[in-house]
Amino acid sequence: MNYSRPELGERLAADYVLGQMPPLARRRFERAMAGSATIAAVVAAWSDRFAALDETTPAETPPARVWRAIDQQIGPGVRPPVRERWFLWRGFAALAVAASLALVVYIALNPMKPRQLLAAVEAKSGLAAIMETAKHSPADLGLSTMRLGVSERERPRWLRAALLITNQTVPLTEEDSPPAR
Amino acid sequence: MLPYEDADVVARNLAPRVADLNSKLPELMRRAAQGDKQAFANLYQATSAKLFGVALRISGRREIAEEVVQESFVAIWGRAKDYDPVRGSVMTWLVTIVRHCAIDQLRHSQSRPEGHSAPEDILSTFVSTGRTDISAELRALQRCLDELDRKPRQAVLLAYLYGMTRDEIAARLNVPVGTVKSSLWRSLERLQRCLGS
Repeated sequence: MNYSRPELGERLAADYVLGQMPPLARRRFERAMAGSATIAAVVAAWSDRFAALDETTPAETPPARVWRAIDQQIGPGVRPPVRERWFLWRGFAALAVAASLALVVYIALNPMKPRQLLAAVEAKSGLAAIMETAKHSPADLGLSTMRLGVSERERPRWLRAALLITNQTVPLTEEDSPPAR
Repeated sequence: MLPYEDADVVARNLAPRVADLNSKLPELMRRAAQGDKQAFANLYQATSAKLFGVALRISGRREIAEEVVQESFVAIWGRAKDYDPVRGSVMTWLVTIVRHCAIDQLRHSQSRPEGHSAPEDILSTFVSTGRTDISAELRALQRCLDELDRKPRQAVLLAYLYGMTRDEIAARLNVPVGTVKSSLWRSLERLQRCLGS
């Protein structure tokens, strides 16, 4: 088919935009359009004119399963659309804020001297030796990981977190320790 | 007339928000074309409600409209590289894909949706309810459609809004198929002249 005749091009563009082309003819026309800026411009002009009619159609959010199906079909690794992700993050954020608050309240209510704390930890995990090397322990760090019921494996992380909160940097594990002087 | 002046004021106030949406779409398309799935998800988030509306209008059935949106977005992901910003807006490109997909589904299923309201009813209801968010483009198009005779106007609207074939339009308007074909083309010529480009 000779798409370069202007009138034929116009007619085909109109058919295309009004949805009057059978699928095969449409695909052929789309290939022609990809190779011809003129045809593409005519189609774009018609599409834009009629696009105004779509305003008369109420928008409606499709059910979530539609995105899930698309997500699945185009491959793994796609994160959900922003709104769902936003809910997810809001959940995480709320949890994190609650946890921080609980920690602050706990610290305030349970003052404990670092020495006591270290002794208590040493009894369980032998971490005290490393802790001893900390030159800048806060004078009255009120945290007891024992009372929090934290498992032994998790304890160093909790201590580190507590010290970080009070602006102390203390190496708590072998890997974190500075090289021996 | 006052209501119209009000409408213009509201339209001017609305315009920046519409422009915001439209201005971020090309960037999302560009990134989606490079395989950025997050950008693609955002594109879906920003456009799927409008596109689902279009799919519903043509297919007339929710489960088919859902399939249409799904199939279309899978195609959009695969063909994102084909989008050329020089050749029209992102939204128009997306609507074209969804319309064609919905039309193919209709042809494939061989069944016509029931209860399509008369296209002119859609348009007149929409315009006469005093909505304040009608674009200048729609007003201009409406004015030019009004200049067409009744049946040619209906033929154009049935084709665009519902994706009807010439045969279906001929049956609906009770005119020969050949007449529909030539009247669609003549109507478009007249619209083109009327819209002044």
